[in-house]
Amino acid sequence: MRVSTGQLSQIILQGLQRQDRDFAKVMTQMSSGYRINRMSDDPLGSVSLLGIERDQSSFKQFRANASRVISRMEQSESYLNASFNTVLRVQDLSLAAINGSATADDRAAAAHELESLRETLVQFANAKDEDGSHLFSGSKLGTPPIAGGVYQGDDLRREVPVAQGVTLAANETIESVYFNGGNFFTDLDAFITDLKAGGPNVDTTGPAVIEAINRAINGIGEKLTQVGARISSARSLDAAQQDLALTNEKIRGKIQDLDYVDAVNRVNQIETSLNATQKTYSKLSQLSLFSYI
Amino acid sequence: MTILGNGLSGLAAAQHVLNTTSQNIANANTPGYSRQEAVLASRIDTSPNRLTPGAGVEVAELRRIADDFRIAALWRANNQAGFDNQMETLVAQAEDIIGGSELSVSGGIDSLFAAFNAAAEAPQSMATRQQILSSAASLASRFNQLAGNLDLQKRQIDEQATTLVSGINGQTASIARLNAQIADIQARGGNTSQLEDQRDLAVQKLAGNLALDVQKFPDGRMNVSLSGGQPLVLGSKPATMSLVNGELSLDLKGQVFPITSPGGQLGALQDYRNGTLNELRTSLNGQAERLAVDLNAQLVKGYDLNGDPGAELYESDANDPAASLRLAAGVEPERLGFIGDDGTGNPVGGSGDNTNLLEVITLKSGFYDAYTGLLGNLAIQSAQIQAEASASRGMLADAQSRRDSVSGVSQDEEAVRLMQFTQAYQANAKVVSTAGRVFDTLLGMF
Repeated sequence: MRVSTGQLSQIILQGLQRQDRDFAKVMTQMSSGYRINRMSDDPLGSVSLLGIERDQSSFKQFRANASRVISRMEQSESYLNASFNTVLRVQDLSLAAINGSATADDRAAAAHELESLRETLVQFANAKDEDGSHLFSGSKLGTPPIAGGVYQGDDLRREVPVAQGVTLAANETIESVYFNGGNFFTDLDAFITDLKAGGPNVDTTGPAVIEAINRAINGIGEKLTQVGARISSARSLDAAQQDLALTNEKIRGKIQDLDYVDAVNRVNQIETSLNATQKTYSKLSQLSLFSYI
Repeated sequence: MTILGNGLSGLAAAQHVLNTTSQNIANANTPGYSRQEAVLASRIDTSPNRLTPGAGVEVAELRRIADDFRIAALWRANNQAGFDNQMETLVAQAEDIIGGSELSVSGGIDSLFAAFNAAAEAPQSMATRQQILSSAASLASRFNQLAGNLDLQKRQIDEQATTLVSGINGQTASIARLNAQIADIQARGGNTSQLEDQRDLAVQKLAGNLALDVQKFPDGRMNVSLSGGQPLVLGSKPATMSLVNGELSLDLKGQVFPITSPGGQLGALQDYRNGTLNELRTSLNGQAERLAVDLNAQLVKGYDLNGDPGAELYESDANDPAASLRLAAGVEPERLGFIGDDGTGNPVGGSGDNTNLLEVITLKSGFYDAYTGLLGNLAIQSAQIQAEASASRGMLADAQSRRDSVSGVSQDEEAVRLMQFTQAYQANAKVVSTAGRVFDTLLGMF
């Protein structure tokens, strides 16, 4: 093929431009650390990245939810523990007061302490969180669960998503503890009235209150088991989400991150071919018949 | 006498070739220049004498070295490159607008649903409800800005097309003028080489803007029409192109031709504006509308903190949902309906119930898929047009090279010719001086 002088310069110029473009691309990748800097650099990879990003945001969300469930359950657990210890004290006092050896003064003193313990139990049951919402009243957050010795709340649980398709309840109600098969507070109040009067009917109110105390102890124990189990589920689900997030992050790295060894290699290649092109051009431009005329 | 005449004709011919060579060397770097070649022919002696060697040499013709086939291929390559380069730029802009993380709708959906999730554990909290409203407003504003940026691109395209159309009108006018000059000079027997070069260059530029059909006539004129058949230049008459409200038309002496797909750079502007950009904008509208409709439909099924049916979250104008998406008038934090329905048209529980909110949270993945699909399609389209543009730039360089290999000046070739005809000139001068000596010898006899 015939080659004109302009053609040679054009070919060299195109080569230089192409190498400059390649160089700019590698430099962009190296400065960002990413192989994909525009979606069109790798459309399928970019779509995968969007999916990974969406999953990561879900995992982050699930973990935040799990941590909220855990802290709410731990808060509930500490009130239930305190209630448990108080009910045990109520049991001790009640058993001592029922005993035939107890004097009228002993019974009056026991009645006095039981009254105060009753108040404590109601306070624990009506505990509020930091926002002023009641912990144990179901969905009726503004209503104290126990007022006038009866349960005022409902039995709704707030389910919170903690993993794909998995929810955990973020609240417990107190209803089953004190109002399951009888009313703990009615029995306790009758017993206290009886003790104050010197214990004329202690044979009937006594066994009734012991029965009610046993029901409450079982109820709180059951709640504590449920709460404990839920905390441990939330923890293990949280760990699982963390693992998934890490795995996802590794996949993201594989798709998106730049292989620096490869990038440096490409820089060297471009440099070599750029040098060669420049040297060739400067040699070619000296090769002219006009130098000999 | 023959020797003197032949020597003189040789001197003149060598002089002529050297002149041509000097023109070629001078224009070695002139864009569009076609090298010229002086064609030598031996002159015939017509006297009835079979011993006459001939009557010397003459420049029979000054040839413009051009291959119409290669030039037409160059125009076609320039047309494809004009289209692809423009389309590549436009799609890359759209990719920056839609795919940029600043305005990413998927990031906005993440934030909104993070806020909904945070409310799952504390549905009564005013702080989390307020957070939902601000995230929802920010997502709406992302839609508004995306729509605004796409509308801005459309306006810029219209401005660019207007400028391009006036450039095209300049190019058709100059082709028509050159047609007239070439026909005139050719009729008078002059050299039209440089004018043809200029006209070819003008057609090449025009081909970058529009897809052309070119027809050449023996009188030297050239008719140029769009590949759809509408005339751009008829002899010395140029058509005038106009762009009104995005509609292109050609006017030739009062006759108006509508244009739908002009090809080239202008075609890329039109195709992108009425195709890709339109689809993006429609898809964005669909997504904004769906976001509003789906979230509203679920939220009104629930009950707010006062036990009333929940309020709608979003509102928008039906004719342009993406640009007008905004928080519904009167939506307040406590009006968000998170409490479920008990099946009898009443709230199932108190402020701590989140049954309906959990339903809202399940809507998330549907919104993602639409946006991811849009981005994926755009990225694939962008990568494809980048590859096509890169290929057509290569084809253009190749076509240019093929044209230059025939028409371009080679300095070495010209240097050889320079030396060759300098020698020829010297040799013919020797012939003339030899003739002189022959005459001197003859005259010395007397």
